[in-house]
Formats: sequence, C-alpha cells, structure tokens
Amino acid sequence: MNEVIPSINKDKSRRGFLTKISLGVAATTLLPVIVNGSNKKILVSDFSYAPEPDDLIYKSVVDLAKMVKDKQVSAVEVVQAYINRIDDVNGQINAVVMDCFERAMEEARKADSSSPKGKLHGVPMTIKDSFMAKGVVSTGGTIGKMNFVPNEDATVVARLRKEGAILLGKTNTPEFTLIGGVLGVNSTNNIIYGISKNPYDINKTTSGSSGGAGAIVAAGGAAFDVGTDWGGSVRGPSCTNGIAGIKPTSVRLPRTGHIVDYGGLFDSWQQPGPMARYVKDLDYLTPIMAGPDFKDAAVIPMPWPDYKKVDLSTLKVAYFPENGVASTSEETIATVKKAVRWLDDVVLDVIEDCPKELLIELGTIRRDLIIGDGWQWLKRATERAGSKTYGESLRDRLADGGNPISTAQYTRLLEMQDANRSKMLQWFSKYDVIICPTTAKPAGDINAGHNPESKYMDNPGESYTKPFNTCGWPGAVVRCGQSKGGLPIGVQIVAQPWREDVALAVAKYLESKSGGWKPPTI
Amino acid sequence: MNLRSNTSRRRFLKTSSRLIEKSSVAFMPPAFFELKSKANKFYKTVNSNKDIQFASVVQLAQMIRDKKVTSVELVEMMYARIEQVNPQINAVVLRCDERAFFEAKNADAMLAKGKLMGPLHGVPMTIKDSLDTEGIISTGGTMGRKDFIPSKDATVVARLRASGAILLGKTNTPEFTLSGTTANLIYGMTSNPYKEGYSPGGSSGGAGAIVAAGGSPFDIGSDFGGSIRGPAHFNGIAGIKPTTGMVPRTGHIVDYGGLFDAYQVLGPLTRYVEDLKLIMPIIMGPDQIDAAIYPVPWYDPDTVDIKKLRYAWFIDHGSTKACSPETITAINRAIAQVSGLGVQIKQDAPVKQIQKAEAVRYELFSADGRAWVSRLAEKYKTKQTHPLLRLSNKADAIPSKDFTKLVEALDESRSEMLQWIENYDIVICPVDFDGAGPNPKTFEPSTWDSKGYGYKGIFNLTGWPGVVVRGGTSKEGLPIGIQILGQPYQDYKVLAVAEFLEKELGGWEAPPI
Repeated sequence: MNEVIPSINKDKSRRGFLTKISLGVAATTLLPVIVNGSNKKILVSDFSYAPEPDDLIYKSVVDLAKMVKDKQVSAVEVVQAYINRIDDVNGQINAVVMDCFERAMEEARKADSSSPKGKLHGVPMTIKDSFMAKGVVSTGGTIGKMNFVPNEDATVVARLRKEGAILLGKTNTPEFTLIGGVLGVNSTNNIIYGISKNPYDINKTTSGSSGGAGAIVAAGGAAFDVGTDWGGSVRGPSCTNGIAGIKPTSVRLPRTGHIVDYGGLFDSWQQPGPMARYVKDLDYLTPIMAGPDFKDAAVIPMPWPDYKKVDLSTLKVAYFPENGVASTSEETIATVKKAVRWLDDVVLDVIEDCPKELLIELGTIRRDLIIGDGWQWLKRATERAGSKTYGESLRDRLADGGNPISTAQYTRLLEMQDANRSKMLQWFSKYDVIICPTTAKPAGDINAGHNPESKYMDNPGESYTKPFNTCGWPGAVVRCGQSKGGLPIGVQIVAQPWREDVALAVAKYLESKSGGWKPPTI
Repeated sequence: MNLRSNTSRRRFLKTSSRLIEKSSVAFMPPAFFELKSKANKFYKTVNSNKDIQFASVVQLAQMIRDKKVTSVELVEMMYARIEQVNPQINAVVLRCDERAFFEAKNADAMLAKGKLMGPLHGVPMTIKDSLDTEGIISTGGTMGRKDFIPSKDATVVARLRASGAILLGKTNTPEFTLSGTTANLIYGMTSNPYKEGYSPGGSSGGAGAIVAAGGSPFDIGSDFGGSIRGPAHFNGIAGIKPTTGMVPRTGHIVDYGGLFDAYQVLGPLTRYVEDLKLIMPIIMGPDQIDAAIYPVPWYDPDTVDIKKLRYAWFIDHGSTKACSPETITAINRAIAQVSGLGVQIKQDAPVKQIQKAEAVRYELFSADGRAWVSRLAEKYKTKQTHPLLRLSNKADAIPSKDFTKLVEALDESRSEMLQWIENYDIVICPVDFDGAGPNPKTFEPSTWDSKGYGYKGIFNLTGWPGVVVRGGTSKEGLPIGIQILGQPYQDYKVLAVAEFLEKELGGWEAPPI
C-alpha cells in the first residue's frame, strides 16, 4: 500500500516516526532496530494500565471470572454485591427495569457448589430488555409485551448463561430500541418504565437505545450488559455513560430473540454488542456470543482475532473531529483531538480525512429506505408485538405516514446503498482505523423534550455512528475525556470489517492513556 | 504531531483505483487468520487421464513445472481443439491468440529461470464473457457492450492471471447472464458438445461446453439462479457455486449490490473436482470493492473424513414437475455409494419450507415491475435486447409496503431452510429434471410458475454451497449431474464428498465431438 501514498506523506510519516523516536517512545529499543531495516512491534501489553479498584462492583469481567474460579470470592458474594449496588442506585437512574434477584441468588449458590461451568462462572450481568430472557418479563419497551415472559433465552443470552453468567435483571430500552418516547434515541424512555438517567448527572440522559445498560454498567450494578446497535445504540450509551462498548462487524452475532431480530430491509444494520467498564472485557465477551445459531441466517462463522497481537506501529489512522453534518461540541472535538495526539505517538500515520460527501449520501439513502414504505415495517413490528398503544414518538410517526415510494425506487435505493458501501470501503482501504466522535455532544438534558429533528430517524447527532451500521464495520468506544460538568466523553474507534482486534487494540491503548471508565459520583 | 487535512474524495477514489491497478497484492484476501491449510495448496492429482487434451488443471500445472510440456504447447493444443469443436458448439466467442502466445512464451521463459508466477503458472483458461477482461472485448451478451474493452480485469480474472493462468478467450453467455439458454444478439447460440443442436444450459453455457469438449481446462462462471450448476450438469463436468459471500463479483456484468445481491456468486467450472479445490482459494476473499465478501478461512477438503458426515437426499421436493427415470437412477447411484461407506443417508426434504421460499423468490423477481432489468439495460446503454430477456412490466409492481414485507419473508425463509439443514452436513439431490434437450427454435423470455420450481434457484436464496458432478446419462445420451449441497461456509466438506462421488460414479466423460 505504500506506493500509493504521495511521497510527501511518506516523508512526513517518516519524519513523524523519527520525531516519535526522538521524543523517546521506546527510543532505546527502536533505534538500533531501524538501523537493521526492520521494526519493533508495539503491542497493547507494552503500556501500563491503572489498577482496577478493589471494590467487587467495579472489577472487570475478566478478573471477576478469575476470582470466582480461583475461589478468592464466592459467586454469592459477587452477586450479592451487585444486587446491593442496584438497590442503592437504581432509584436514581432507573436503569434496571425488571429484576430476577431471587433466581440470581439461587444460581449463585449453585455456582458455588459446582465446579466452574465456563468462562463466566458466577459473573453477574444485566441484559437489555429488548432481548428475550427465559422466565423474566421481556418487553422491548412496547406495551404489547408488557407482561411477556419468554420460554427461551435469546441466542446471545443463552450463550452467556451457558458459560455461567448470572442474570440480575433487564435494562431499559426505548420502544423496539428504535423510537424514544420523548427524545429519539438521544434518550432511553418508554411508556412502560419511563426514562433512564445518567449516573454522572441524574439530570442528564443516558442516550439510547441501550441506555439502561450503559447507566447500570457505569454505576457498577452489573459487570456487563449486552446491547444492540442499529444506528448507534451500543456506542452512543457507551459514550455518554463513560464505559467501553463495541458494535462488532455486521453478521458476527446472531439477533435471534431480539425484539427487532434478523430479516427485512435493514437486516444488515443490526448487531448486538457487549458493554462493559474495561476494554479487555469486550474481547472476552464478544467471541462467546458470536457465530451461527442456525436461525439467524445472516450470521457467518468467522474466527475471532486476538487484539493482543495487533502491532500498533503499523496502523494508518484516519480521523475527523467533526463530520460537517452534526453540530459537534467543542469538548467532544477536543477529546477526539487528544486521542489522536496519543495515537500519533505510536501508530505509523494519522491523517485528517473525512469522506463527507459519502457520509451525506449514505445518510440520505438510509433515511429514504427507512421512510419509503410509510412506516409499514414499524407498524408490522407493533402488530407482531401486539401493541395497540404506542409511545408518543412512535404514534407521531405512524400518524405521519412517512413518504412512501414505489418498489422500483426501493430496489434502486438498495442498489445505491450497496454502491455507497463499496465506495466507503474503497475510501477506507487506505487506512486501518478511523477515530471520530461517537455522539456529537455529551449527554443532553433529561427535560429537553421531543426532538423534531429525528422525525425520520435522521437526527444529525447520530451521523457519527449510523454510517458504520450501513457499512457493517466494527466500532468500539472508550472514555477519553469529560465535559466541564463531569459528563463522560467517549471516542469512537472504527476498524476494517472483521478486524475487531484492531479496534480493541486501539481502544485498549487509549484506555491506558485516558484511564478509561471512572466511578460515578452516585 | 503532523495532522494533515485531506478531504478530496476524488483524490481518494483515484488513489484507491491506482492501488488496485498497480498491485495484485491488493486483491489478495487479508491473511490475518491462520488458515487450517495453506490457501494455495497444490493438490496432488488423483486423475488417471492419460490424454493431455483432457488432463486436469492440477495435472497440467504439474506437467508445466516438470517441463513435460510447455505453456506454448498447451496454448497451441487448446486453440487447435477450439478450432475443431467451435464451429459446432459456438462456445468460445472471442479469442486473444496473440496475447495468449505472448504470455505463454513469457511463462516458459520465466520457468526456464526457475521462477513461478503461482499455482496456475502457464495453464490456459477461458472466461465467461460476462466477466471483464482487460484489453479483451467483454460484452456480457448485451448490445450496449458489443465493442466494450475493459481497462481492468474483473477481480477473479486478475487473481487467476496473477497466479499464472493464461486467457485464451471468452465464452458465450445470454444477455446479462439472465437465461438458461445461452444465446445473445452478438454471438448467437451455443450448443452442447455431446449432441448436435442440443442445449448446453445457461447461463455459463459457453464455459460448460468448451470445458467439457477439452478446449479449455477451466472457466469461471456466475450463478444467480443456477448458471454454474446448470451448465455443469448439462455438459457433464464439475462446477461449484460457492457459499454466498466468498468470491468478489467486481467486474461482472451483474455485479455486487441490490435486492438480489446475495443470490449472485462466481465459481469455477472444470472437468475434475480436484481442480475446483485448486481454484477456489485462488479466487476467494475480499477485494475492498465488493462490500459483501467475507474473509472466511478456507479449509482443506482433504482433511474431511466423509464417513463422519451426516447425509440426506431427496428427489421429490414438492415441485409440480417430475424427474426422468435416468435422473432418479443417477441419484440412487450416489445414495448407494454413500451407503457403501457404512454411513446413514436419510431421505428428507424441507418441502414446506421450499414451497414457501419459492413463492417469495418468484414474487420478488417482479416485485418492482422488473425495474432492475431496465436499469441494467440503461446502465450498459443497450437499446435492443434479446427476446430471451424478460423485460420490465410496470403492471407487475407491488406497493412498497408489501415489498418490505416480502423482504422480511425472504429472510424468514432463509432462517427456516437453515433450521432444516442444521441436521445435515451433506444433502444430495438432482440438478435438473433431466439431461439437456434440444436448443429452442424460437426465443421466449424465461417463464416459470412458482409451483413448478427446479432444484437450483432455491439454493441461491439460501446461499448454500453446491457442487455438481456427472452421475449418469439421459435417455438421449446426454450427461446427468448430481447436486451435492452443504451448510453455508462448509464448501470444503461438499468438495470432499463430490470428489468421492466423482471417483465412484465416473465423473466427466469425453464427448463424441
């Protein structure tokens, strides 16, 4: 790939590299190697990370699993600690909307009296309420499912429980994960359970749609949660609640048992993903949930690449602090720039580059696809769920009727979407990583009211995340800064399809620089 | 800190295309997964054919390396055979003799210096005319492209040439590959080498006919509704429709994208299964242009223990049409061979699931009033289309609210079919109801009703891998193939079973021509 980079860039990157050496980044080991004409790898293990707090509720998934397995702590102690924490904070943040504490304690006792079952033996989790959980009310935020008790787990939930994870309860989601009751997916709100609040400032939202998940994980009420991301619903809440999250490559994880599952026109946009406090947990959790379940026909068997083997020094990074579509806060811009400066110390090259025209084209196609059948796909979702009463936002849309187009226009839009995907991929082929904001702004006010901008689900504030649902590329989020008011700001790290290892390696490195997740004040 | 601003889209597209043009390496699949076998493993031939005209690709490549034959000699031999058979079968529609001999001489000279371009060093090939070939007219069977000379090879062609293969010429295809009859306004109609005036099937009919006749060791076809498997069946050769998402469609006349994106796959047509095993890993993997291709690992078919697989078979799958006795015999022979391994093979067909899926597939083809066909004609500036092409008819279009529902039904069918095949590693069934019939005297657009469906299109809907090998002979003396299917991305298992059945059932036989 080197040949195509104009020589001026080559010189600059060479100079940049030498500058890094002179700045003393592992200079003593690097310099002689360069003379030899080769290069020393820079791995995430080369950096130091802040020790995890001693408090069980703030431990990583990886450490908790190890502690239970090594019998340093019992599953009962761990589960009780997390239940206590939920009891302490949930009144303020309304993140866990249905609990199954009794069953959890019973499972914890069983875990303690049996030999370790799997990689998550005794680790407490919550699950977004859009996923079916066997024996636990699972609403998807819609009235028709208000009292729905599934008789089986969603595939990802079943896989986690099979590894020994213990479900504490369900976390809040907007109706169908798509339609905020009040604010679009800038918030997590529905007419069954109400609105979730940010643990760093309870007057602020959690964003959405996995807002309950983001808030409770940040607050230490669960070791992790699993969200879904159709337009940013894992990454947005990970950003505004200051935790780590990843939307894996499209079609890596099955959607079976989700309120908006596989199939249909937007099939390839939807991907579940883990949300946790530490980047290493995302690497630990994703492969457990990945791979075909012989129900979701889009999912493919792909090996999980190891982020610990990624050589940061070889990476070419494109970044944009603003995309020219969303009005982006100064603090968000500054946080992205800070992350890029950190990266510039270790990677091969950083180049400011935003495919703005392609992003605008992508956004337009996306909107037209969504509204093209006059919201009939959404109406069918309400019928399947048996919902006759809707949240305000959904009601408005169904009443509005969208902007129906002909089927000939529809099939053309699908061709345009795939052409856009190809153009995006060709643009990205020069890079390994994109660094950009996740949300345009830190968490918004809880009382901000209805957002008319998101009438067609084309809220410009989501323009940082949606393109990577359309493209299907993996996107990780890690906390890199905060607003003056103390609200977390995460940075988005996007990698080539199937290269979650690269996204996680960069996220992990940034975590070492920023400190990543921080305990909230509540 | 050296942050540079660079937002010119044009420049990026330009540099991207330069990247592709300059370096064939950019076409190669990312090598970040350790494959269980070396991607370009060079298979040892199991083929005992003594006639070099009909030798396998593996044999030919080995003979070139061993200097038992030169690339120039092979190219000469293939052209001589094309001269001999083409007047009757009209399979090769355009030749590039000068370049082929130039490249063959180069290949021989390189080898003399001990250098190899790749696993296909010096081996001749033909390519279906729906695929772009740099510097060689590529029509896709449509008048708008009658004189079109691409400046770039299609991704698969580039990969094969980078592996050392030498293009002899292009093989016939119906317009946009959208017919089971291989005829177009530019080059006319192709015939079957086993019987004069009979159909080679379509749409890769030229490929199937010339490979069967020994005028080319292999070809690359495309399969949107059976276009590799049909011609493999009718011409008695081997062919694979790989799992959807493995081989890039970049540079094909109907390439990536759109409603039927997942139906369209490319794959090799050869006389022997060992050649499918050799060619697949060369052509698969992302090219950074076709966004629907995944870097799935390729496993070595030779590692499969076929006695440990779970087998099913069916003939009756709920269609209103019935198979010929000879087709049934061919399937029975295959079943007997599998049973002979000492394993269970269960008769099972997902009849209800197929019926439902076929209804959806049928409706989807005209859901937009076939505006997608009009757009193809517009894209290639074709004013006069062939009578075989089913054109647009706005009256057929359904409202968009029904359309999005139909797309949901499509994915539901995919799920239902997948739930069925979870129980099996291998499914054996016919490719078609009978061997080839006579070529049509008059051209009618292809029509079919949703109840009289065949055995091919359904597996474009599911995206499962399907291999065809010859397993019998029709009443009229034409080849009958059997179809071996597997779970998605388990192509290597399907190839292992296909190679076993090929050996036991005889596989390809030389045509009388």
